[in-house]
Amino acid sequence: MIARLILLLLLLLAAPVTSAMAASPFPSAGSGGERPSAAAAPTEPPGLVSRYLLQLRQVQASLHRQLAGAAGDVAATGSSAAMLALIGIGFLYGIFHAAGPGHGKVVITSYLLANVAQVRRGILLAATASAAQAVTAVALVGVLVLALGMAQFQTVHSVWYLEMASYLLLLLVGLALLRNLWRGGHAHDHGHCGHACGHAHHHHHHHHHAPPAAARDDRRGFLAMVAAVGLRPCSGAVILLLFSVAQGVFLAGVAGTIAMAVGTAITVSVLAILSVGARDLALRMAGSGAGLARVHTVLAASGALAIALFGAAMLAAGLTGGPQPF
Amino acid sequence: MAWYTRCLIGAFAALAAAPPASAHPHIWIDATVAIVAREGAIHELAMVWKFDPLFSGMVAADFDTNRNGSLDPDEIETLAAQTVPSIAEYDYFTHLRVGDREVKIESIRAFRIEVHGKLLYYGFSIPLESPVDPRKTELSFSLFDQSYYTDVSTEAEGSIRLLGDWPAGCAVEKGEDLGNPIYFGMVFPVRHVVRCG
Repeated sequence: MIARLILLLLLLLAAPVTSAMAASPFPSAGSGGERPSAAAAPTEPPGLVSRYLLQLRQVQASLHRQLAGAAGDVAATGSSAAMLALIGIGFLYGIFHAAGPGHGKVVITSYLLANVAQVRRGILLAATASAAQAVTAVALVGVLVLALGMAQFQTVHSVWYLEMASYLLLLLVGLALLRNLWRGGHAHDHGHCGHACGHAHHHHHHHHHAPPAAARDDRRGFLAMVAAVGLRPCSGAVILLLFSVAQGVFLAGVAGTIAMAVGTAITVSVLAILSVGARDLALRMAGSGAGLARVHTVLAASGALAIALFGAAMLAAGLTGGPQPF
Repeated sequence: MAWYTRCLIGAFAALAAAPPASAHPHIWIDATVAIVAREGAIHELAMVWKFDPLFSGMVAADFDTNRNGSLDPDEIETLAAQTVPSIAEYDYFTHLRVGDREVKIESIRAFRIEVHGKLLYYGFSIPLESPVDPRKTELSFSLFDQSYYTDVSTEAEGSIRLLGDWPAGCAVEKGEDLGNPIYFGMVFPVRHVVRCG
């Protein structure tokens, strides 16, 4: 099961992304949306990646419907069994839903790439960001719907503002990381030099005596990442919360949202572990001395650049996008 | 730099460049399509969309303005008036091809909204500009939202039907629509091709 999930994640990440830009992540295609030429449109049996995504999609679709059923049961019976079912389904939804794109996976893996952090730190980042996303979703629905009485669709559409703020923040974080690199500062995780640093211990000895300013930079970077990723709530959580409000069981929706966040944190953590592991492997293979330093710099620069580009691209896509279909 | 290091860095760069999404599907539609023929030629596609319970619940919450627990005719009228132009912008999620020509859906007919067992249903008909003889011209269609905010599925048994006066030996074949990748190029929608003989 776990192995399968990991394989699924790897496939998702390794999947071809060539036509990515044609498919705007925002519902902006509209009638004028790009449409690939109709010249060649062969019909073929599904490929491997498609089959996995199809499976992921079916699981997601089923969980999405079960969420509604479970929330409805809580409203109807108020039983703790219904509540437990909602929590369980929310947890699974979090795991599988986060296996699709989004949820800060790209930026979190990039950040871990740009910063010499250990596995524990990666998991902490994934978990904190997921928790922040849940808090944002609950706060959004709590304030807009419960306190201000906003309509449900309007609330879903208002997620857009949080997304834009999130992407702007990511752009700034990426630029700040690049600036630090340019100034010659290394974004190392000085405070917690454990397993990851151990492999290159003799090359890095002096880092243990790094000035406290570097540790403060790391902490600041960590918090900025949590803020940037956490500002964007999962629309799935927002939709569950809205449904729960309509059923009069907001708190059950909150419980489901927390369960979702735990599931999401697990999926993103798996990726964080893979990311840290792969980076350590790259560093180990790079050998020592000048080669190692160069790999460090390249990894750090590409990670920081990826975060900045990601923020800029998503911001541009969001600002030029059209309305959602519904 | 050793080749494997370059490989790893390349892999990382690809990973980092993998585009994000805030748009993995949040609305799920089960679609049923009846392909209607008269005198051996295809005249229209009759479509029914069944929405998932969460979306159905949102619609009920927003459009049941008199709070009587159901959508009354006037409330449904308001919803329909907002819905039709909106799905028109998305070409009714229907990507139709006649022969090797892609046909933009200009209008639909008989749009209606119903609620059964708390689930929302949209029904409408897509008339063809001119009837298509399936023995001479290949007709195919895919149902998808280019932004993938909405997932449109025809996986269920019997979701595609041939209705009316059909020539013998016609059937619908399902395959991947390789010309229209969605979900960041990772998913090809299902393409339905009418084949005769």
